[in-house]
Amino acid sequence: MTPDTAHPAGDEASAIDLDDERAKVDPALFEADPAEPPFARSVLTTPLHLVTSAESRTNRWIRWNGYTVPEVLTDLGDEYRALRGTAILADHSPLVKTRISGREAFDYLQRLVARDLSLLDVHSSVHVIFCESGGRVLGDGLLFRLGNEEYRLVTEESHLAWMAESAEGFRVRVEDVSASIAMLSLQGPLSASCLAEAGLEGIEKLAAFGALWGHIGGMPLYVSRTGATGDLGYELWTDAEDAPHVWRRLMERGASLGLRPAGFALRELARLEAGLPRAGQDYLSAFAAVSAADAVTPFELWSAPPLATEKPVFNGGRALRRLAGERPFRRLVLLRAESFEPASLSTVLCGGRSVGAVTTAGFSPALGANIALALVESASLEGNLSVTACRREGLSSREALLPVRILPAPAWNSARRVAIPAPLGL
Amino acid sequence: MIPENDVFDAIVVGGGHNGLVAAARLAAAGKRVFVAEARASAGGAAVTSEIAPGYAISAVAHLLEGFPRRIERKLKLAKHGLRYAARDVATVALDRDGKHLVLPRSRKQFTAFAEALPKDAEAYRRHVARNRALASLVSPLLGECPPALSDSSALRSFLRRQVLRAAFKGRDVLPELLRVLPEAIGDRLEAEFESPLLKAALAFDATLGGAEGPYSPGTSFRAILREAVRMRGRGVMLPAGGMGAVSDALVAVIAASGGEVHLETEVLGILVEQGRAAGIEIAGGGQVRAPLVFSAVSPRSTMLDLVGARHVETEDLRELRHAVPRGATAKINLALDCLPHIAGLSPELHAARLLVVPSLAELEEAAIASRNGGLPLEPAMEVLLPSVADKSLAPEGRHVMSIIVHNVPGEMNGGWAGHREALLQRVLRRLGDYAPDIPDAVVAGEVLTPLDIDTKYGLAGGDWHQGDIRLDRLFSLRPAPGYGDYEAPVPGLWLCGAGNHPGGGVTGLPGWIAAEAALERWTT
Amino acid sequence: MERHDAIVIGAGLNGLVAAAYLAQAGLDVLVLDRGTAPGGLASEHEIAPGYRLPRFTLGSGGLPPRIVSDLGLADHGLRFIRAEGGVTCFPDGRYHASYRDGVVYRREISRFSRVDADAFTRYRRDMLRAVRRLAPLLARPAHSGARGLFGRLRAQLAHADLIAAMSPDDMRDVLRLWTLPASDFLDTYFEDDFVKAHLAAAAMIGGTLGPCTPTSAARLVLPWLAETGDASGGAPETLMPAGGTSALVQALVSAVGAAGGVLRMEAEVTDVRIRDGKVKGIVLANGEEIEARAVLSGLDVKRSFLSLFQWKDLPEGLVERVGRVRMKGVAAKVNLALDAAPVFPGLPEGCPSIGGGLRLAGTIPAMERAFADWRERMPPRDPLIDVLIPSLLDPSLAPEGGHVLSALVHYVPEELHDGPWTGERRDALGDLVMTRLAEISPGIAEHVIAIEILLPDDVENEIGLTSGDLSHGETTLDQFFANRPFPGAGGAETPLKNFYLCSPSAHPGPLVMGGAGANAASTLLAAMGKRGRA
Repeated sequence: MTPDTAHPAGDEASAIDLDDERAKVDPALFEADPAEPPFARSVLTTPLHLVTSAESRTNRWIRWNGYTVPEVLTDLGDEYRALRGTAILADHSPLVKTRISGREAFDYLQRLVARDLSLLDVHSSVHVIFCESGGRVLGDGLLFRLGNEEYRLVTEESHLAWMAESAEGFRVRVEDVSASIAMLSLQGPLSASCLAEAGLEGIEKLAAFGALWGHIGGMPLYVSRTGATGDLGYELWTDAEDAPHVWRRLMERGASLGLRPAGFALRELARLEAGLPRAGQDYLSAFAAVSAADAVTPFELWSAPPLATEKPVFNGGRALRRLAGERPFRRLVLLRAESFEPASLSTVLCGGRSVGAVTTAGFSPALGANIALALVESASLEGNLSVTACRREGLSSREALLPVRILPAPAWNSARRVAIPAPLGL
Repeated sequence: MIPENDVFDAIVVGGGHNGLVAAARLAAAGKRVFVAEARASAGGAAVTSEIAPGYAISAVAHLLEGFPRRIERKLKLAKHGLRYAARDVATVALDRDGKHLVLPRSRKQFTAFAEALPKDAEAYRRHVARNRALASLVSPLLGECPPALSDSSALRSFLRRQVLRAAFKGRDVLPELLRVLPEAIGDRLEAEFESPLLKAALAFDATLGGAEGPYSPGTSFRAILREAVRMRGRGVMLPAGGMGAVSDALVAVIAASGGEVHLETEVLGILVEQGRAAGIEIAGGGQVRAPLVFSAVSPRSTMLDLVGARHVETEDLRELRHAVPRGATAKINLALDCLPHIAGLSPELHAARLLVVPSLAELEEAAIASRNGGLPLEPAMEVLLPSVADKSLAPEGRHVMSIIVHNVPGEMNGGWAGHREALLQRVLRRLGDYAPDIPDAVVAGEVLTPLDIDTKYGLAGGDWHQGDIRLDRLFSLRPAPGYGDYEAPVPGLWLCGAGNHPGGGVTGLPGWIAAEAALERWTT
Repeated sequence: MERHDAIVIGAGLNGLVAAAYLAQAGLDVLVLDRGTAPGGLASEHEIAPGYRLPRFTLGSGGLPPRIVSDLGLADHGLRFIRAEGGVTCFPDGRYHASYRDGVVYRREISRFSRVDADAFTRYRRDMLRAVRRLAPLLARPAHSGARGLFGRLRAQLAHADLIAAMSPDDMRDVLRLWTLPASDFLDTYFEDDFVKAHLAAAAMIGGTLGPCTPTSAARLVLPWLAETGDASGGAPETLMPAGGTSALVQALVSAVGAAGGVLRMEAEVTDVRIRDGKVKGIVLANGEEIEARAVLSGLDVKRSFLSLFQWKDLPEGLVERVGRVRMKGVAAKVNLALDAAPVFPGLPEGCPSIGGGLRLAGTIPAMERAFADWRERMPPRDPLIDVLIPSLLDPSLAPEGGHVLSALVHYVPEELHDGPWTGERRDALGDLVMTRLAEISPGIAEHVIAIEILLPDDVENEIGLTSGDLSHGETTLDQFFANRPFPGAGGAETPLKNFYLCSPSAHPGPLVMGGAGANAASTLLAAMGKRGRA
């Protein structure tokens, strides 16, 4: 990454000095250097590594998709309060971005993903899932239509081999463009205000899942009204080189609105409150699941999975049409455990029998309770469920069985998420 | 010439013998059938062609081996003109020193065999008995649709049935079959026999039509499979008028039931509408529509070229994409101005299947050479003089000679130019060792490389089997996992060519079983 | 007359494993070996003073954790070094390294193909699934144990039901793996020829199948057999005993001794005594006779039956069945002592995968050509060479600064098409290996202080392994599972009462180190009605 030499003046207060040589001990490496053997660097860094490093008060990092990103920058509680009260900015650059272009890009995607894409307009996005021939989920992600014949699929994990194999017979080009596009996630009730403050005009008119091209501080970026927090939020897609400038500008302009930087732990907590599963955590791609039982169907993961069984041909269609008529063997549900103290949750029990496993758990400040996503056998969903919880006290650990109930709705689902115009100010 | 707006019950793409059998079966069931054949004559590998004025010969396949009695009877092929010039054609392995070996199929022949090879006679009897025992277990399976892997209860009863049948045949039959499956025929023959000629002849018969050498795992089972195919027919038959007579009879059956066979009708694609096969698109414009489409074209070409990847799921193509048919068998057809004299061979045996085979090691070398795009140093071949039994094929006193050459690569290093002649010379030189008058007796001839067989007769890659008979492509896995029941992943599309169970050879079985399976589905 | 509960013939790895299990179960065990030091194939020797390496094998590989813990071998000093999976070096100077870390290995594959980097996820899944299916089959006898016509029928029907109950995906995977050629199997995952060659090279080693031969795909599972399927997502690792194979042998010897077993060296068994169709004991070369309730042979199946018995004492047909077992030498060994660490200018400095071994290989067609040469019994022209420099990770194996290098050369026929190996040809093979080594490590020849070239024949002559077949019988499918060592066997029992095979000639063959020994011990203990831990 090139150091920022042309940033606008007047930002001394932000205390970010990208010219500071001390901050350049290790140059950020978004894309693997072909001259460097892979073992020399087991994690790469994102284009925002230097700015997030400068923001970090904890020096807590986590490995995500081969990149190191901050886990917590200051304090999870503070970051959470900003997310739900004002706004946060986070680096989500490690997401995998795949560009699909060509005359038959639409036909190709229409067969690749389970839902019907006929209504997907240019500059809008939609949540898609894609499955293998047995109807088990390979991955899910956000599909953007950037132009008439150009799409971008954003996923948690790479699916390049599958996408390339599926491209046979279509005039389409599939490329992994992950290492050229950085992504800043701006989430929270004041996120639209922050963008407006940073000079992005008309942002409030953008509908949920819509996207537009804009500029911040002279840097072109693609803004989509997306995010997995159950609230108003935006994702900013920029060239890797521009990302630090955009970050700095947003932080400057948003400071007065209470914008704070946040790390990966908050991303996990927010999507848990919103009840959204993450690939690799709440489910395994069918191609990665060594135990066949670890591969799940869309009907197990989502109560209303985005799929159109009436489409004549799409990957997994044959199996999904059959599965649509069956009761899923298990379901991913959001559980609330009756306990006020954070604890680690593991096994879901019903009448003393293990009927499921917790895949993500956390303490929801919104509910003031432990909540968890768990894959639970459908047959037991009506029963009295409990979950094993472990709490460490001093050198001893205490295990307890906490009663749980299934939350009918996400722990956080604000009307702001889809409101038009998006609220500016609180 | 294509009837507009005509209504057909079924379309068959490809008028090879399997396509014709499927069409004839459907026609016999009262269905209106449309057969589209790209070439000017029907029959595929079962055709008779004239190589010189007055000399007719079976251009590709030259014997009918294991053509099921059931098909012959049900389609009344005899009534439609099929006659035989010879039945139960004998097999003779030629020996350079004139001690030719008749592979015995009768008690009398066995006595002679035992005199010639006293050390191997008992072993041969055991070998044949064991082959028959194993083949009798396999043979019934060749006439039926293999169970789908996805239907566990059908599979369970199928497997249980096989276990019980095997137990009925003898306590060791099942373990023995499982052991033989991955065995190499070369290893087996070495352990059982001493005579190099006998070993080579048996290895040749087991590997002919495939690309693998005798030391390749799975070749032992090919011998069992071949025996099992034979059991379904009435021995090795020579149709009068060449193999084209079989196709002619099939075309006559179709015509008699109101079906149409359209020649020079190239199919550009199979129409898929709302995920279902709906008809075909024909070169020069035009469509023919029918609720059922059968394809006798190779499964790979059917799915990738005619249907197109977009109409099926990604994984439906994964295995097929790599199952490229690659034939390793050439055909040489010669017109001769006299009956060649093979020293030490009795006159009546001149009508037999004559095997010219080098040693086991040379067979293996030839397979390796052919895989690397080279010609075999010592060509192994099956030679037939059909005009000895069928005088109608050549002018009085003259003959035609039909030679199947084993281990000839489809793609020759440096291209085929010049190599056809080299192959012919090698073959003639080798034949000259047995019948010195052959090279001078040739008045006309043609060399068909696997590639020529593809372009002239439409066998993909010149492969008899549209995808080799290998362990991973048998029964429910043939032509690929998910395709074992003849119905393609596109509803309404049925695959009925040699690429499907039970494989190639002029048996009509893939066509027959596909048609029966489709008819059964029709009524239910 | 001396009398024991069990006699184990041959103090090789499997013999010692069997002896340790039996002794720990309370049996009075005597292990006899004709050599001067225990270890058999695994024994080490000094190629130069202070330079130790296994004479005939590469020396990598680990005992399964089950055997290590059953026998308490950690208490007897056994430790394993876990190394990366090794590097394949191609003739054009390119290399492909294995890494256990999924992210790192992904990036390594990406140097060749980004699509393949992603495809590896599915490949790894399928390999680990295969291991999970295979592991239980290797840990117990391969026959059903059912007796009588109806017992067997019932067992066969039960098998049929088990097969039918498999999911179609499982069934497809199993059938594909056991029937396909490795090349075709890899084609359904990967596009890059070097990626495929790297995976194939590691698998073909030690086998009598080429990568394009049907059924060779099953060999691809071998490098994964010891993988537990943790979340690392990368390539499988290489295990090697710390302190060399002698440390492994010592730990086993110590375990046998601690449990009261007796090991007697320089005691060659020349005959096994049969009375009333039952094995009663053995006779040593010096004429001494020792009685035992059971005799376990750690020799290969051919030597076990054809050289230890009077043929007339054997059941009818057995000699013929044993004679039919195919044993073929496929590998030669070249051992080097080096006075300095070899340098590899073509490989990145500090590449951790070098410690797991270097494979000098071409692409799959080149491997297949090398295999075709072997089938035609030609001296190798372009062999597949598996190199391990154990002293890189375990300096105790050589004097300070020095190194030992083991090279296993495939495919080397036992006898050439035009006669036996001559001294000239043996030297030519050595030169060929040195040339290949010099291509990746220029100047290595100047550091060689000792070299030895060992052909399959040498293995046979020195330790008596028939045809120098390190696998103790071809591991093709028709000689595996229930067909190992011959049809209908599938375990350690033999047609002779009280006589058991504990060598890799018996199930599960060479696939699981010590597996045949453990299997034999548990079979014998079950027959004696004892509960062992095996």
